[in-house]
Amino acid sequence: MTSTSEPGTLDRNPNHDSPPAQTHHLLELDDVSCEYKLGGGGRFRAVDGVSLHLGRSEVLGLVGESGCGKSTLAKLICGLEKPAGGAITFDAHPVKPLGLGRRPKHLLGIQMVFQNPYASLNPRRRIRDQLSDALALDPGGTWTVESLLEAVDLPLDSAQRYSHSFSGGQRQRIAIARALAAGPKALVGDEPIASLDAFLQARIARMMRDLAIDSGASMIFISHDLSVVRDIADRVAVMEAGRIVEVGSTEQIWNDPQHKYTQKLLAAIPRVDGKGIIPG
Amino acid sequence: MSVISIRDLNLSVTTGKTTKHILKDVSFDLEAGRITGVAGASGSGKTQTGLAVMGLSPAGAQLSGSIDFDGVELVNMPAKAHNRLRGVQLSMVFQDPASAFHPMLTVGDQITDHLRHHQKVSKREARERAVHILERTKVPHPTEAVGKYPHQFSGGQLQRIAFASAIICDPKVLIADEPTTALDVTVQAGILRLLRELCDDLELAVLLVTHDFGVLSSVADTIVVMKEGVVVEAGDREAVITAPQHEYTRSLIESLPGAEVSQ
Repeated sequence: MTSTSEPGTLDRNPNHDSPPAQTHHLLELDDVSCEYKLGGGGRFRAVDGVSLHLGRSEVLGLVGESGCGKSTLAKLICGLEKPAGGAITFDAHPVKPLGLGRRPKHLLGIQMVFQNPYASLNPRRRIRDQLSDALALDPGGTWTVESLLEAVDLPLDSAQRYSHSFSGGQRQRIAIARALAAGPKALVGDEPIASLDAFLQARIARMMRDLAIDSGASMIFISHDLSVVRDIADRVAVMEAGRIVEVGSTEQIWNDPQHKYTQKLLAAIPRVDGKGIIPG
Repeated sequence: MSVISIRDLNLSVTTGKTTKHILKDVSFDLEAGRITGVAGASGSGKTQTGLAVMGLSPAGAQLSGSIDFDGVELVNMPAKAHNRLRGVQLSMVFQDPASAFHPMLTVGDQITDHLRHHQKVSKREARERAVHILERTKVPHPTEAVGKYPHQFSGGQLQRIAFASAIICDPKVLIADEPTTALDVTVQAGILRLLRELCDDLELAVLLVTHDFGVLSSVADTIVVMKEGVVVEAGDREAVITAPQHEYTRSLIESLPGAEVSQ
């Protein structure tokens, strides 16, 4: 399932110095950090010196426990958060934090699917209007409202309805369709399946991978669930307390984890074997 | 001898002019010292089964059939009578520990509220019991914890406090509705171990509602699989997981990511 790996994509050393002019990577993070101000006057470093890259037509899984900085990293990539240091480059353009003005055209190629589909869709607008908004961002694209709905397995009459008449899984599929409509080159999913039940999780995750790869995009898939990531990612990055502790191919991370923390995460996944063994 | 015996339970909810049939002839037992896991996709009625036992069915609900609790009939029991059981003999732990607590009351007050109401113990004695029970559920520094507020704890710790609150009155039945869904895998293992311990030591009859077969495989003794309000399969943990009889159970287990089912 591993797609074409370019030289360098299997680099296991997370803190490597990126060689100059690595323009063949779609997205590059170089020593990026982010800080939040604390109430007492201190600072909390949520992301601490992260260097990562995302190749073309590649799915990168990002896993870690809650509070490790996964979501902050996603926000940094989309320009929703201001980095305290380091540089993010998307398709040879620097990613600037989002201001009050319009988002620059070349950055529209980064689209995000958020965790909670109940909050990310507008409750007062029809699905057709919400998808059309996104379609307008990519005038040269081949998608239409109908083809989008078909791609995410929703009935065509959904376009006339409002988001409240859909279940959680259906809403998340609408959110995915909306992100695809803008013709992204990089799709960022911030725990897009966390609010769904276990049986839907695997299905939606596979759907996201297929749609992203088929439309020629790459994807960063953030999740705390290693078993889903294993199913869909080409490479996996493991994050702990703001730092990337291990990056490797999905096979390698799953079968031969090097870092202690990765081993701990893997050991905590309960096995479906009916033996009644509590993991850990 | 089962503590709770559910027979032909039907639940329908009427909103406006439409009536929705949520549970259809659900029957199974909860036994002391055993964890009964209820699995199913969202909307299958697994949570509503737990709520029916607690007498917390939604407004406009019509219940029929029988839920026998040690000889007492819980279906259509008057609210006042149910109130005397709820929190004392029947207790519940919810999915999201962050929203299960009042943000402006101390943890100590919240986990002893029902104890003081039902058993009329003094404030001081309640506090001692609270410290003791927090120690039992392995909340760090229980003496200080009773004076803290919910936001000062992590999700896993809050869930331990929720379990403390549920067992403080020595209940016979514990309904755990997706107790680990909102938690990380590493924290989940600790909570599952706690649930198993409490069940064994206190002879609790536990109803564990979850959609995670990994969780069921770790702690459940018996598994009940529900689909659209109907029990499609029930049996021993190992039998249901390794040799599912019903097509639906098989499809659920196969749909899991990287399911490693030993045949």
